[in-house]
Amino acid sequence: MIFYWLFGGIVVTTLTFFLSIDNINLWKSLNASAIVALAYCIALIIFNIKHFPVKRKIILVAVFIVGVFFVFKSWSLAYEQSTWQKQTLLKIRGKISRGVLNVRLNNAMLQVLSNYHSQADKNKKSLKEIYNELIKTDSGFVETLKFSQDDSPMIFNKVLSDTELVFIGQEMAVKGRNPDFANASGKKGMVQVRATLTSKGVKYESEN
Amino acid sequence: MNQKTDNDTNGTKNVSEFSPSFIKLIIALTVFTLVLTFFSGKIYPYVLDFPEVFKGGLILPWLGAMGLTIIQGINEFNGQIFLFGTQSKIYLLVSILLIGIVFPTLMMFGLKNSSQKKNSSSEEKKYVFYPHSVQVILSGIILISIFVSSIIHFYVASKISENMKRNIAIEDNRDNIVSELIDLSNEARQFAILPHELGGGNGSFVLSSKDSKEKKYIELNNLKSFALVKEANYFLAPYKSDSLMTIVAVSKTRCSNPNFSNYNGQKGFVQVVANISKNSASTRVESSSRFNNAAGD
Repeated sequence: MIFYWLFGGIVVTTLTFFLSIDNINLWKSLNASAIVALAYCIALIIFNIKHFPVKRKIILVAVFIVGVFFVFKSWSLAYEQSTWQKQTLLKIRGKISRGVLNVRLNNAMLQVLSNYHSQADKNKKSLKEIYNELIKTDSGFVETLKFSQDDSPMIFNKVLSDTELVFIGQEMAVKGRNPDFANASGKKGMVQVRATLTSKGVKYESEN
Repeated sequence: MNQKTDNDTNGTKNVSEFSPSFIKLIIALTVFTLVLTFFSGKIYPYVLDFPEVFKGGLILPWLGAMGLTIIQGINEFNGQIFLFGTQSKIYLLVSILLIGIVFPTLMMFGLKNSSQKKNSSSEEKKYVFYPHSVQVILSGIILISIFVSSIIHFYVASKISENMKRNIAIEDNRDNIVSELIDLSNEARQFAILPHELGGGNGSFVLSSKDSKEKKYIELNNLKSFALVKEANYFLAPYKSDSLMTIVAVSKTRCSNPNFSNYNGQKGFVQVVANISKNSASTRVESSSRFNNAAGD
């Protein structure tokens, strides 16, 4: 009899585990198979308890209820804590990305703007000319816009005209608010910001 | 029937405590344990070489899943896509089968057999230990240790979780203040860069005024992003020069140092300061020794 029980329990729990499997979220299959295992244990107790003396019956049921209660508490705490920690890590990562992009893009744009307005009115260079000059001569400016290959954020120059410069800053692996957002790099759903510089100032937008 | 008897010095017969099948089971278990002990290095890699996170947690699968979820978060934090492998899934399945199916079944049938033995009138009843005794003892120890571990985990982890959430909330607030200060700084710098004709300060933080002879500096209310701030109370420090602006943010969240004197006269609140000039801006957290040893603590 014991082998039938073991066989049945193992088959049903394994099936439940694999039918609810998710490569991104392990808790789904773990929770589903735990519910099946709990139902199995209840059935096991109901089936076997009639052979026990009354005192043993009471002790067994009491230990089972208390044990399941604390396993449930510990289980739900582990689930809640790990999910919260994971979400917090991703939130912090998104914040770091946005902060880095904000500082770098604004610093670069304000440097171009500052050089533009520092010129004498006669023979004034355009925003594009100043940008190209800075790229060639100022290593600090190049560093501000350029990310090493190990860094996840990327900056693309979208529009370079005499009166307007548009830069897109994008994270290559950090998800933004909208998972369907089409990024400048062709990816989907990543953090993206846009900085537009005109002679009147910088317009900075968080696009995703 | 197969009962083993010994003669003592007085010639009386002593009944053995162990049934023959119990002794066979104990020998088999001992041999199995010895094989595992001496050949573990050779056996494990071929069976299941569990990663570090699983070790010791085979009977508590939810703690293994917790570790795996956090590892997944760390990987995604580092910009890597993380999918759970076959090994992780097998680990969790084996764990749940052991604690949810195998041990409870061994326990219940062991108890059932022992109850039936007590009621039976057969000769084997005379033994104290039967194979089902091993079933009950082993599975009982494991199930009780699972229950006890759950209780310990629940109480310890609850405390850790509370502290962690409180600390993260403080960090979160501090990061948000820095972010708001960066937005204010960018706008203030832009004001200083723009010429008077475009509504700027033409190299300083002085507002252009044709009528008044008194010098007027830009105020926080003049910055559009000031309308969006919500994480702290912001103060503009008195200008020391035309080209240097200082904004002080005093949070509504308490910092780790209760004696820290805040700019607005309060005590023990997170405080962040931004020094802004036309060409640069810097922010400094003053209320935490982790960020700045010179001030605050």
